[in-house]
Amino acid sequence: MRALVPSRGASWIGTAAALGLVLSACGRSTVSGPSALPAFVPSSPIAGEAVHSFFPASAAQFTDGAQFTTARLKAQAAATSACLAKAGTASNANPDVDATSAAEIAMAGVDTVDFPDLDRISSERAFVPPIAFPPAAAPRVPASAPATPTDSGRAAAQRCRQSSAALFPVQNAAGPLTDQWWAGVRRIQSSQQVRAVLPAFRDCLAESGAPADQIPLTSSGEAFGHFLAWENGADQAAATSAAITANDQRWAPVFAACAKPVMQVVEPMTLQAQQVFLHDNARQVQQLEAMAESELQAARR
Amino acid sequence: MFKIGLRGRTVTGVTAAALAASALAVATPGAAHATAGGYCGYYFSGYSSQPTDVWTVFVKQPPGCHDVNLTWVDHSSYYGAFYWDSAGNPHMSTTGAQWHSAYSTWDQVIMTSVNTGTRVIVVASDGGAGYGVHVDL
Repeated sequence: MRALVPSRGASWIGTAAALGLVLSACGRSTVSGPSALPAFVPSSPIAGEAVHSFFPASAAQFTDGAQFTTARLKAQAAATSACLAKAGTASNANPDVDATSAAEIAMAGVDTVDFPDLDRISSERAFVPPIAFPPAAAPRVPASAPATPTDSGRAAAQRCRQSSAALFPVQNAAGPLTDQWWAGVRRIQSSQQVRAVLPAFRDCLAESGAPADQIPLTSSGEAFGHFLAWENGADQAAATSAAITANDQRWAPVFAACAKPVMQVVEPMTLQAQQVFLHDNARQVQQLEAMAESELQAARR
Repeated sequence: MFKIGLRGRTVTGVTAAALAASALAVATPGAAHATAGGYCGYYFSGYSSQPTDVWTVFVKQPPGCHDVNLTWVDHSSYYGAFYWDSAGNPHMSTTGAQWHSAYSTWDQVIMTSVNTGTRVIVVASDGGAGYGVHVDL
């Protein structure tokens, strides 16, 4: 796993540094500049969720932002289904389309690498929730030959998915700024302050019996991702759903406990950087807020 | 990116500790990207969230140098993967969804140690008609 963090558009990191965004040797933040900035106040709850979906800085914000994402995806799924029904191709195309929508919605609230909800992972003893596929879209057995959709069914599905996605231009409008935000998040994850606590993360996993010696100490995202990929590999090796569940139940609390000290460094840094970022890009953020709210309301009508 | 050390059911009976050790012992992050175009596993370009071929978007190829890594996308979004166990039950990858910025090239592990022949779908949380993705399998 290798991350090549794009350097473009990361000027806000420099701004953060100039404002005195530094961490002490023990990992606790000592901020002199950003505290002088006015706190970000969303124009509405929906707008706040949208901002957190585009620019999350903590597990709590990611969860909050997932509400907007989920609402958007549900609106898109409903629009797609209506479009397909109108096209008269639902019987062929709907199962896959519905299953795709279900998968997207299930995934919307799960980030285990960048902003993992460690409390949930620990209490549920699971990294990700089960997927709730609609009955009509029950997945086929992997070894079976899939039904081949007709050309008209495929074309209708593509067209209807595109038209439903077009209900939310805010997604494309937010793209450049979200890329800029994530470039900064990656920089924080690989900062000296974060890298300083990664050996403890590795040691913690090793003490619990995980093969942690090759976990990269380059960034929190890569370290978490490496462990999770290994854990997923063990899931893949399991023959049954019960075995997968047992594997997750064993390792989820371990990961949550070991990752917590890391996130106690990452999240304060990211939250403070976010304050600067939102301040520096206030005009664009306000435009995105307005778009998100109006588009979601329009899609629900 | 992970070199493949586990092959699902072929390791049944191996102790958990040995299994765990072998899994990471062969992990070599980034090695296959040392040279441009140096993919030694199956390299696939396709679409995420493909609505009509959703169960057949990616089929894990025989062992190579890669597992299921997302290496490039044409649309910024959260991406994740799903797989099916031998009973046909769907599972989300433990790594959940991860942000991948458009046009940035890096190996993002979204699944690992996937059995040959496993059907894998890659999903983007944007809910579009399918975004272009490059996947190492």
